Amino acid sequence: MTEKFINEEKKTRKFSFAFSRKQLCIPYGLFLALFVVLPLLLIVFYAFTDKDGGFSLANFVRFFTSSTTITTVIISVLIGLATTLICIVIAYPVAYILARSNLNRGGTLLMLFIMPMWINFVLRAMAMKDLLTLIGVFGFNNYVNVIIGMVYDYLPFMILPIYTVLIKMDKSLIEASKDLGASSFKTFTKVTFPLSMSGIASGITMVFMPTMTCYVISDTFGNGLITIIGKLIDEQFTTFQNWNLGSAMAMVLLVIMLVSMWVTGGFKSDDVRGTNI
Amino acid sequence: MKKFISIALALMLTSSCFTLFGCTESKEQTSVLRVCNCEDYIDEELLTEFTEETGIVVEYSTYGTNENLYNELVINPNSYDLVVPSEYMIEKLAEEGRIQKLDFSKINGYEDNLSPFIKERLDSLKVKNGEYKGSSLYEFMVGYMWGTMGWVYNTEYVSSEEVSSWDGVFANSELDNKITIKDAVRDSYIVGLAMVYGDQLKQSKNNDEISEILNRVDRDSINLVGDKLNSIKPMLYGFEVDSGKNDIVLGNIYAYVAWSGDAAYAIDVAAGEVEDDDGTFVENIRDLSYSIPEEGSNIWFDGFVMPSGSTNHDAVYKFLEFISRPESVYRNMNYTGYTSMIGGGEFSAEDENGEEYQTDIFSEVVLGWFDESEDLEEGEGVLVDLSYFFGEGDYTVTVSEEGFGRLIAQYPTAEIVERCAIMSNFSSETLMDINDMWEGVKGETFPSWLIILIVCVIVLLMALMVLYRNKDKFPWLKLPERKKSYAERKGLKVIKIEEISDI
Repeated sequence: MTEKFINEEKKTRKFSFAFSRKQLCIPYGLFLALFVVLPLLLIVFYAFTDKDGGFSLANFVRFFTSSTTITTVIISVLIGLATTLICIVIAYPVAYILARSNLNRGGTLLMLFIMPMWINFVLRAMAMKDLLTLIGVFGFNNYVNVIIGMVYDYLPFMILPIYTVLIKMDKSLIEASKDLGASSFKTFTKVTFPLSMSGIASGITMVFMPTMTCYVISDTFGNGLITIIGKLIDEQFTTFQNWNLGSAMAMVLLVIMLVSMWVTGGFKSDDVRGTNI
Repeated sequence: MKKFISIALALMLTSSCFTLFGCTESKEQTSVLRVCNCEDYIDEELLTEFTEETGIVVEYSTYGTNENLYNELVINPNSYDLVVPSEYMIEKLAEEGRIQKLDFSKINGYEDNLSPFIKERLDSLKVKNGEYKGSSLYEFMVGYMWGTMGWVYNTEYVSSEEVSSWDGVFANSELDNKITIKDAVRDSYIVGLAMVYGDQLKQSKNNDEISEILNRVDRDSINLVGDKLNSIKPMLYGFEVDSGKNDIVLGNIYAYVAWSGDAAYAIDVAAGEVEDDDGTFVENIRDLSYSIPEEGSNIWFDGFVMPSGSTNHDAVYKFLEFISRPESVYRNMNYTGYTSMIGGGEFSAEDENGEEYQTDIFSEVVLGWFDESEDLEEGEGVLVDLSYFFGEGDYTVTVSEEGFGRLIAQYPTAEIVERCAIMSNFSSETLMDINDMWEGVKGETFPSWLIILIVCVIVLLMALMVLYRNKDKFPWLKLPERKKSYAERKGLKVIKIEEISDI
C-alpha cells in the first residue's frame, strides 16, 4: 500500500512544475549575455576595426602615439590616485569613530554621511561648486578644484566598506590583544588595521575607477580646462563620431581597471564588499 | 517533459521582458506623432492644443546634442516622425539619405510667411553627396529657429571696441581669467578661424568670400587654429556649454561666447526682466550687451525634418502646419527667447482690456519688445531697418545705443547677417584632423621624458605592491625576523602550551 502510494506520488511529481537552480538561472544568463557580454564584444569589435569594418590596429596606434592622449590618461590616473589617497585619509578615522563610538547609536550618524548620496550627484556637484565659490576657496587651481569635487563625491564609497569591515570585526580579538598587554596604539596597528585592509581594498576599487571617468565633475569643477579619459571617450562617440577610436580608448581603460583591481586584490573572494545599507 | 516545460516557462519569462520593451511598436501609427526636439525649445502647451484640435497624440522627447540625435537615428531610423537638428546635421542626414523631402503644398501658409532672407540662405545650401546631391536644404526642412554667435559682455568692464573683434578681449590683461569660450569644437573652431584670418575677413566684400574663409578645413588652417586657441587658453576662465549664462549674470566672468538665444536670456536676466518662478522680477543686477564681431561669425538654422523611416505623413504635415502658424510662432518665441524663421502672417491677440485685435510678429516682437522711439529725443538712438527679414514694407525700429545689443541678439541687422557664414558639415577625414587639434587644445601635453618617468614610477609602485601582497610565495623576499621575541626582550618566563598540563 505504501509502496503504491510512493509510486503514485512519483508519478504526480513528474508533472508538477519545479524549477531547478539551473533553469532559474536562464533569465539571468540571458540578461548577462545581452547586456554585459554582448556590449563588451561590441567594444572589442569596434576597437579592432576601422570605419569600413575591416581589421585594423590604427586606433591603438593613434592612442599610443599621441602624447596628448597618454598625458590625459596619466592625469586621470594621478587625479584618481590623489582622490583615493585623500579619501582613505579622511574616511578611515570617520569610519573608525562611527563603528566604535556611542555617537552612532542606531546608525543615525552614518545615515547623515550617506544621505547626500540620495541626491543627484550632478546637482550636488554644482551646489558644492557654488558653495566653494561663495566661501572663497574655489578657483586658485583647477586640479585642486577637481580633486576637491571628486573627494566630496566619492567619500561615502570609501567610508561604507571600511565601516562595514570595522563593525563586523570580532571584538574578542581586540580584547585578547589588550589582555596580552598591547597598548591601544599597538592593538590598532597590529590587529584592527590589518583586519580592515579588505575594506580599504574594496573602497579603493569603488573610488579609484569611477574617478578616472567621471568627467561631469572634472568639467564642473575644472571649468572645462581639465580633460580626463572619460571625457575623451565621450567626445569620440558624440562630437567626432569615431566609435572605433572611442572603443579602443574604452578598452585601454578596461585594461587599466583590471590591472588596478589585481594590484589592490579586488579579485580576492574573502573581500568584504558589503556596502549596502 | 518536465524539463521542456520549465525551459519554455523560463523563455516566456525572458521574452515577456522584451515585449515590455518593445510595446511602443504596437501602438497605432496614425494617431501618434513622435517628435524629438532640443530641451526647452518649444512651448509645450502648444502640444496639448494640437492634440485637442486634431486628435493626434504627440509623443514628445528631447535630445542633448545634434550628434546624440544622429546616433539615435542611425541605430533606429524609425524612432521619430519629426526631429529638429541644426543645418549642418540636416546636411549630413540628407547626404546619407536618412531624411526625406517635404511637400510644402501640404503646409498652408508656411512658404508665404517664411522670411525671404531665410528662404534665400537655405536655398543656397546644397547637398554635396549621395542620392540627394544638388538638392537644397530648403526642400528638407520646415524652418524653426535661427540665430548667430557672438560675445555677451559686461558693459562695466568691457568696452564695445574690445568686443568688436574676436581677439580684442584677449589683449586686455584685466580680463584674464574672466572669459569663457564654447566647449564645442565647431563653435570654437570658427572663432579660431575668425581670429587667424581676421585681416582677410575684414577685407572681404561679400558673404561668399566670408563663407569660404570660415569653412576652411585644410591642415594648415586647422594647425593655425589649434595654435591660436592654445595661445588664448591661459587667459580663459574655462570652456563651457551651458554654465556661461549663469556665470556672466553672477559676475564670475565678464565676457563669453554665446549663442544669440542664450545671449538674449542672459541680458534679460541680468537686467531684471525675467520673471522668477513665483512671479516676481529680480532686480537689475548688471548691464550686459551682445556684440557680433566685425570679422564675421556663425549663423545657424534649426528646422523640422522627417526621418526616412517615418510613414505617418498625414500627422506630420498637420503638425508642421500647426507649428508654423504665426500665433504658434509668437508663443514659441515668447517662451524660448529664440528667433523664429517665420516673420509674416497675421494672428489675433487680446489686449489688456480683453479685446481682440489683429497683429503680426513684427509689431508684437520687434515693436513691442524693443521700440524706444517714444523715450528717445529727436536724433538720438539707432534706426534699424529689418526689411531684409520681414520683406518689403516699412519694418524699421528705433532703439537706444544700449538696446541695440539686445535687439541684434534677436534680430541682427542686414549688415551683420551679411558677414555671418553657415558652417558646413565636416567630412570624417576632416573630423579626424580637427579631433587631434581639439584634443591638443583641451588637454595637456607632457614632454616624453616626463611621460616615461611617470609610467615607470607607477609600474614600479604596482610591482612592489603585488610583491608585498604575495610575499609568502617568494621566500627570498621575506624580511629577516626579529631575533628576540617579545617575551625575551621583556625578560618574561615563557611557558609552552604543551607544558601547561604538567604544572
